[in-house]
Amino acid sequence: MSAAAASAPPIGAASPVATIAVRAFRDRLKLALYSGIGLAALSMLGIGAFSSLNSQDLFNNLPAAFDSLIGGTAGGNYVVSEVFGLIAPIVVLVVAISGGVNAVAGEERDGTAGLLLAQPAARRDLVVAKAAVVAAHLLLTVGILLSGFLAASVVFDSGLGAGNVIATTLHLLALGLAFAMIALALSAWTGMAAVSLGAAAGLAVLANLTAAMLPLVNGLQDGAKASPWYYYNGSEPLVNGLDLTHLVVLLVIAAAGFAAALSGVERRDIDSGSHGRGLSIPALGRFTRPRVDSIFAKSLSERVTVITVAGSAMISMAIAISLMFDGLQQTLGDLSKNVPESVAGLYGGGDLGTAVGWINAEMVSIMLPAALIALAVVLGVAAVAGEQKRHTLDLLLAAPVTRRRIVVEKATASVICVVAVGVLSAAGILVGSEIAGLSLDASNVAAAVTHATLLALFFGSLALALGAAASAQAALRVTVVAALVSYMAQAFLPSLDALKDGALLSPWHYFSSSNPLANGFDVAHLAVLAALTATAFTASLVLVDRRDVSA
Amino acid sequence: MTEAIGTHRLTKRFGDLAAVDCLDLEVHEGEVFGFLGPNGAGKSTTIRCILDLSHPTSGTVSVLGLDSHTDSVAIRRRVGYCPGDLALWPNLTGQQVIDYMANLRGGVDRAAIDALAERLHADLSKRCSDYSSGNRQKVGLIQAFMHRPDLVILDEPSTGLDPLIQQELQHLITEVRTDGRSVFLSSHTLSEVERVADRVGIIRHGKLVEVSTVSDLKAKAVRGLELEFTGDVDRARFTTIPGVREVTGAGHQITVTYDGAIEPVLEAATALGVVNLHSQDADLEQIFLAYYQDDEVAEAAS
Repeated sequence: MSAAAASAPPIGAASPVATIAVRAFRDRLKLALYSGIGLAALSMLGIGAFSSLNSQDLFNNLPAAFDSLIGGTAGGNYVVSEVFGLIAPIVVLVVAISGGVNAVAGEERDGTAGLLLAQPAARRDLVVAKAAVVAAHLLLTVGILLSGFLAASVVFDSGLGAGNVIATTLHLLALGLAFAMIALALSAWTGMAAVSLGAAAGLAVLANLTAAMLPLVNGLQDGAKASPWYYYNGSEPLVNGLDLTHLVVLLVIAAAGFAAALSGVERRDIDSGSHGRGLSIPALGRFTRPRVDSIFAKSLSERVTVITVAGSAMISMAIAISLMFDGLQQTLGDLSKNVPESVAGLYGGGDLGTAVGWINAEMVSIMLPAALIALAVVLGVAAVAGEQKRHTLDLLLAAPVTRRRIVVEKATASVICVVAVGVLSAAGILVGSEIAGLSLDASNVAAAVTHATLLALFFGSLALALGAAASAQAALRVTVVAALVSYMAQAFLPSLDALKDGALLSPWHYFSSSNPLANGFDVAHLAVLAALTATAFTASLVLVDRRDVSA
Repeated sequence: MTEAIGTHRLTKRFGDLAAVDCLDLEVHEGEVFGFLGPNGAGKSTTIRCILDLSHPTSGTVSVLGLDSHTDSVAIRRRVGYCPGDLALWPNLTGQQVIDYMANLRGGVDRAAIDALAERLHADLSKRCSDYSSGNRQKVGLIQAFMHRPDLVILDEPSTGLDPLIQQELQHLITEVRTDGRSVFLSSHTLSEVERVADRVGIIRHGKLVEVSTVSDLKAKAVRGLELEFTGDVDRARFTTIPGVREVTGAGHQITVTYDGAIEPVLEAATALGVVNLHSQDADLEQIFLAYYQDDEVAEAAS
């Protein structure tokens, strides 16, 4: 034993780049792995479900207008285009952007940059290593997704063109690389993780919207070419295969981002470890200044920025979607007649040719609850588990306040925050309806938003209760999985005769099955959601008292 | 007379590990009690049980005569606490953290805060994310002292403070005692405790191994004396002195470690013509080593 120790080679035979890369690869491996597995599982499930519907004729008959909305279906399978249309790019961009942001600014936020750069590793070593790791993670994610598709197409004999799926996957990889390097460049130049994350994510949303919307506007069609997203699916790789020119454009963007990151990191003073500078909007300065009068006041004042950002996003999205309806009404009407109920269930159901059906499918059925749930869950986790994670719970609990009062005050602030974004969303839908002449019924809009808000408050309370008992990470994971699984149960189970009653167990059922945008408030369903929320909240009060606040 | 802190067979288990094991501890009102122990001995776990942050597996804790769990809010109204490894809200300034804590307490005197900030040279205008560990610590100390609590609980309070501020902190602690209030001072360094504590308790593996006054403890401590002579001396002249544990060095420079009284060592050194001497502080490490050695001897004997 001692002889072996004596003859062991010195630590550090590898180059600094390799050492940093190995560490970073392991650190973020789970995210890449689970993202790929999640996408692959979703695809296989979807392909399996649809192959049993045997609706090949349907997909061949879809009008062209439908293609541009959901990312291109012609010649392909509905599920593949759905996955590649939005879900896969979103997941891949999460891996890409979070990887890019964390590369430099993340180390500074965590206060580890100083230690890392005290070693004989050049700053560019850090950037090169981290860039390689993001690329490797992206490769892993899309590789697993592709394997899932190919496996599913063999098992279910869905008649997918493997070549085009591979081509689309390559386009997706290039899109991911482009945004990863943009995020890396922002991270290297600013050193501020939150700012880089916000800016890169904002650019991605903007790119998606311009690529999706500008082609619908006469005279501005070519504007879409300014968006990186255009080079992902503008050539419809799922139909037409690889477009080398478009691939090269994305890779050039990636290379430019990488070069910018290299020069940025050399120029800047490295932060010694300020723990998370927040994103703040100067104009809101007066309102976003933290108030410390009470736990409630502090919680609410810290949410003004998120209310403003999320509310503006929902308003602009609602207006944009409303405006799209006019140009698409004719084709959407034809389309809807051909879509069987089981398929319609996936986008929220209803007749796409009507204003209510359109807004429901594009805004209310998924986008609105997803945004509100995300907000509520983040706030729910932050309330107790978040303070513990930041180690500030100690100080808070040293004050003469009961744990339950802390939970009640924080929960009240969170409810106000979620309701505020809900109200702004409703306002956006109504303004959009007015501008585009959709004549939506105001009370039905209020009903849809109320249902969505209560659904979100349930998941928020669930996150609060789990966070009162366990770690922030565990609470977040369990709640997100619960939200996804219950969504899928509600979406898929009704099409399977034997299991359709299972959908009743999903909270989502009480949000959407009564179609509140068309039919108004469903008091019984709202009562179910309210009861679920109250139960989870009560549990959080019991659990927080039992919590052992460890160091 | 009620005790400031009293634990009765306090036990806290994490799985198989007893972080605190049947701890009986008494901190009197009006005293500064030093709570010493190596890393991982159970100091912070004990504090967390006192403050009802953690719930004991068994045993009871009373603070200022109240039950630590059922009366926890009433207790915290009268207690000031500065956590070890202090974390603050990064988006708040130091002033905002203090105001937040003061608002949660109510009835805190603004002048008391200002006086503390001035004495500790605390800059409260910066955001906590920009503070060095010492400045963060000052914020933690101000909020622990500002409401003139009946009991101040401090966990490694000198962390990151420069010597001048450490001295000021010692003044703050002794002033609390002068008022008849109590301080529970947890630390792993004796130097942080010995100047201000009336009594100290030593905890190891979750058990209290010693409670005594500081002077008694020092008498038991192993200390070192570096001696320099005009010429070479025989080391053997020191090994026979009672209390001497070890003699190292050679020629005209010799180091003697001993416990108990210093006089016999000094007398021998004077007789041999000592020209220079340097006393090594009795540090906690050596006290613990002494306890460990005693344990080992006891175990070997049984």
